[in-house]
Amino acid sequence: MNHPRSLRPLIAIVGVGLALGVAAACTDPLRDRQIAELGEEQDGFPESPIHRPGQPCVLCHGDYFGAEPQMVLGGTVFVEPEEPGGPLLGAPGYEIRLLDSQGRITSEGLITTNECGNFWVTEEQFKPAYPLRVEIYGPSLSDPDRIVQISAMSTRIGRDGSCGSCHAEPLSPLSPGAVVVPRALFNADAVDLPAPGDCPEPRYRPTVPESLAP
Amino acid sequence: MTMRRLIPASLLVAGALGVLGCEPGSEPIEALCGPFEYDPETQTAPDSDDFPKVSSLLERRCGTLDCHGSLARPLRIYGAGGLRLFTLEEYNDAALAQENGTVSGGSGTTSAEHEANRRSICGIEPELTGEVIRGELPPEELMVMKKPLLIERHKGGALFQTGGPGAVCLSCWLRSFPDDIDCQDVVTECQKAIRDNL
Repeated sequence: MNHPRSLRPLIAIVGVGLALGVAAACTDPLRDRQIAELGEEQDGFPESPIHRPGQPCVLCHGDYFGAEPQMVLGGTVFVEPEEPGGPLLGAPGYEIRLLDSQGRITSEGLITTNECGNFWVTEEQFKPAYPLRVEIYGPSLSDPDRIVQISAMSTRIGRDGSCGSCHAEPLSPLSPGAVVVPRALFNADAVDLPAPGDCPEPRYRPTVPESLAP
Repeated sequence: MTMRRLIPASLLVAGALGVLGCEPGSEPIEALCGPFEYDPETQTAPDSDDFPKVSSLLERRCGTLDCHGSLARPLRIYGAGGLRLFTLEEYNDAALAQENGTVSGGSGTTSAEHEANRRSICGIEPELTGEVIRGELPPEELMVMKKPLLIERHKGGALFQTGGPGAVCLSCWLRSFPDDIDCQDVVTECQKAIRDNL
């Protein structure tokens, strides 16, 4: 198509503007900021199944950011520290069971915490209909071979597959604290806790954006 | 009209519209939702005496931290298992909040939290809520009913079933036992909804 020479700069400017506009329209500044607030990977712990314990997994491993594997739900289970405020260690080998609002339950052993307590489920494995009920299963105190319910979330998950979106430390008016296996139900003989330094330090997302702080 | 004249003229029109926007049909929330302390004489708001049971249902269904138990979302719902109504001191000092039980999963929902929830429900569409209370509009016309019934798009999905205990609990309270809704009493209906998870 031939345009008069005098119009060409204008067309170029409009074209560039449109391209920038389309590019900007594809981003979500709120999510971008939430992702940026998670910070860099910790030294010695590059992207891997054990990285970023405590942080909201689906924020990156969801359809917006697109990190693989794509998760519908993910989080970290810790062992309750011996002393309040003590270090949180990931709880390996615990099973997470989900019950969705259509009555579907995740199959036994589908979602199990890894060596640093991280767990996740992909859409191919289980596509939940919210709201969800969540339970943690693990070895019983009396018989380590017997898997029993350790705890159940007292409320439901309404829409956010990242446990770390709500469960952050410390326990506060905005957070019920990290997801933990209560110390009273923790069978130390049946679970090999990670040695110090084997897992990244747990980190959490800010529970309230600065702009909303009272 | 030149730009020099157009800008002040536009500002004038915008200002006038802004002032007018405050006037017609926009009764202050206080007029419809009642004063902070409910006054049964004025009958301008749904009863607050039965509200704790309604609140229990809303806290369970709507008030999780990832939904309406969030500072960032409209229809804010406070509750023992979700967002707490905290003071600035408690916000800045988690240990103080823990000591006071003002933490998610801490002590039971307080009366101040119940009242804040009642005002959330009442204040999201104050004019329409007033019409429902006066029997001029069916409760299903309110967003607080449309969303959980999925009559209107709702990110959290369907939380109530039409005619189910959850919907009856809320309708029953909003209309103070209307003839067209089969409800014995608010507390019974809401207890039923909580018990049956419906």
